[in-house]
Amino acid sequence: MAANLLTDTAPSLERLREYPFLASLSDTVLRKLQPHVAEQRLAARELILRLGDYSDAAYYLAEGQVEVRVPDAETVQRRDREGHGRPATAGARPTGVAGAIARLRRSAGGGQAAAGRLPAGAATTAAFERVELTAGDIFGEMGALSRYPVTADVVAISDVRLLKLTTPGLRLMLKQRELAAFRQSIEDRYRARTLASHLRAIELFAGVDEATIDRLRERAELLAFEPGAAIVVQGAAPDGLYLVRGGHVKVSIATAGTPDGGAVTYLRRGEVIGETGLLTGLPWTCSLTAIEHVEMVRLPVAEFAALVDASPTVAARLRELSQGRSAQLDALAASPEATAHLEMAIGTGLINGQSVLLIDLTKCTGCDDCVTACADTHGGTPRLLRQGPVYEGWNIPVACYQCSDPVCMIGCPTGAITRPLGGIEVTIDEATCIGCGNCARRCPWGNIINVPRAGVAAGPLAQVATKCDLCIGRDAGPACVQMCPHGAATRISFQDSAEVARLFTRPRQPLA
Amino acid sequence: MAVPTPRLALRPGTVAVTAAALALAWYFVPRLATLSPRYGAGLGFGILSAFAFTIPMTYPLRRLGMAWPMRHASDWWRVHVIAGTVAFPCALLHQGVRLPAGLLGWMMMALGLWATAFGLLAVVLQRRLPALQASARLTALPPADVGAAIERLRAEAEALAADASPGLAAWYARRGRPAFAREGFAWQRLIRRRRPSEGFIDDAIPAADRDRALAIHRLAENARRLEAWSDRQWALRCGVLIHVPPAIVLLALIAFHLFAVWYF
Repeated sequence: MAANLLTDTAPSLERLREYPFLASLSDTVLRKLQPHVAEQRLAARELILRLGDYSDAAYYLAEGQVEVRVPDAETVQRRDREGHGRPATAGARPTGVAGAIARLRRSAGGGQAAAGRLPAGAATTAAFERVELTAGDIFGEMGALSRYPVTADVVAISDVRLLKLTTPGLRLMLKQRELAAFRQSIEDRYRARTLASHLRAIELFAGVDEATIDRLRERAELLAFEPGAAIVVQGAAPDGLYLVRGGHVKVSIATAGTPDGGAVTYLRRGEVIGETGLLTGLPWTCSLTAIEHVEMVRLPVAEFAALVDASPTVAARLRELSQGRSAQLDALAASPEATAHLEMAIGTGLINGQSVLLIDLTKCTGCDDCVTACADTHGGTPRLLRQGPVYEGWNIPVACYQCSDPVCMIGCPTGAITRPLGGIEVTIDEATCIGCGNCARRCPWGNIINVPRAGVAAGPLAQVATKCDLCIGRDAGPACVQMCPHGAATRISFQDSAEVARLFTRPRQPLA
Repeated sequence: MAVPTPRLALRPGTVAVTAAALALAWYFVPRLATLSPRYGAGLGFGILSAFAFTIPMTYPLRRLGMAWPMRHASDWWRVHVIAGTVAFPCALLHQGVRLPAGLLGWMMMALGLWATAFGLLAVVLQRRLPALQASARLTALPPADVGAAIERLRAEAEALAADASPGLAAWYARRGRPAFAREGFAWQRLIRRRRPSEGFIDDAIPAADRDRALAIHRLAENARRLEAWSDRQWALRCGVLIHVPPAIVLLALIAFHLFAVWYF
């Protein structure tokens, strides 16, 4: 998302009430909403949202017109193959001071275009489906609510006035009874634009015909839960298949040893649960709790039963899924240590990590070869600090976790921080980074650090943000792991709860 | 979870190498007197020894061309250790396990023994010391920051004792404060696992201040662990310094020896 450093203004209550969809709200609600909204005025051709970015805001178009440029699948794939998922945006430019600096850098030959990293000419050959939005339309709400990467570029095609609704503001609005119509319109848009692709992405529904997907889409319930809310309670009757749209869900099982329920695994965006109950009719064998704000989709039992009756393939996949999950949950529930490790991962936020560097302190001699290798790979500046908390004899050093929800990518004023579509490596383009520190401030783990920029002694560009990029492009993978002479360094995805349990529970360091 | 104490485990590779070494010893020991560095098996062992002494010197190359011949730095390390271990016995067999004749021979023998012995000692330390200290570590930090970290722990303890009752203040002056004093390097800390100190909490502490004394105790224990860890890091780094320079000199002497044999 391109931030607008000069044009954001906080609207007064009177000003907010001028927006038709907010007119019905009381002063109390508007006051609560006020800190979470801002008015923006942008000139024609300014870039508002950028494909591949992560966003924490939706936009209400008050005046003017914008164009949504949705690239076709071939364009996205081509860009992905070329190294970065973010396609260039023909004619669009980042806005405000940041945009000006980026343009200056570009004109001075200091780096690639902030709007993309593709070779010159790529933008002109890119194929976009163009959709025009006019005053009264809302866009960007899917990314803001579910934290999916933005799926299109949104560019102003005339001078525009926008009301920027940040995620907390948007959630507050969706809870208001007076805004039932607004909520309905958001849900309808999700159903119409996105839910079908989410359903098709689930392996269970692979090959299911369009008509069935459409029927499921129509009947699906959209649910939201606040942090700590019980989504499903163990022992409750089966009520449908749950799909996580956004956030993390803790799966816990109450046993004699853990009557309050110990964590056995967790679910994240795109994962489903509830298949066992649908198949057997037995009550839920686990509880689901929202770890943070969670958005879910529930496919009702009746719809599902019809689908299983009609499709033997789905029934077989459901049985397979159910058996696999039961075995996994039983194994994890039988291991109190595994539960403790998962609780730690949930408590510390490590569940976000898709490639967390861990150093086995029973093997690490402190030779610093990992740090040296990192520095050698990155022009002399290491991107990991071999210090940090220790858990079960494993050091969790200061190195990017490549989070599943990369909050560092929100609000980069020049679009320097990117993640390839379908990849996990979050990278910072040094040529485009202006060293503002936005990403470093947003990283909850302090894994992004501003360092002096080579060759620039002072001035606004004297610093540049730096972080682990998993040595992207290095054939042998991350240098820190490969160059550890004692095999102490490893990387793990906390998405794999069985692997987490195995790693932290296994006995280590037998002497050969 | 307590980290398990390292224990010896037999591996098929280890068994095979030991068996091969024993077979060679069984064959060559009766024939030692016949071995000559100038020809036959003696010369063969000499070539093998020179080659085996050279291989460990390629260890720094792991940073340049990782793709060939090994994929992982741990493979380089393993080859470094195995070749270095094999080299010295081969050098002994090269001269029929007889004492060297001249100054060059003595220097090569002494340096070879030194580099091999301290290399193996470094391997043992690298395997034992990290395992010894892993379970006691709550955080990881650079060795240079250990002093500052202990100072922070001491400041925390001072703050806890600042407004203490006279009983706790007297105990802190007698037992608490000295526990944070930096001790010098101690060899026993390298080989012994740190045990919680006994008698640190004594009956002189008023019952009401016991929790505070326990908190100070925990801080003191952490300070000692950090100190012990710092000593072990020092030992590990020293091991490299003691091992590497003589090994480089040895390689130079081997090169000179080979040149001399070829030239003269």
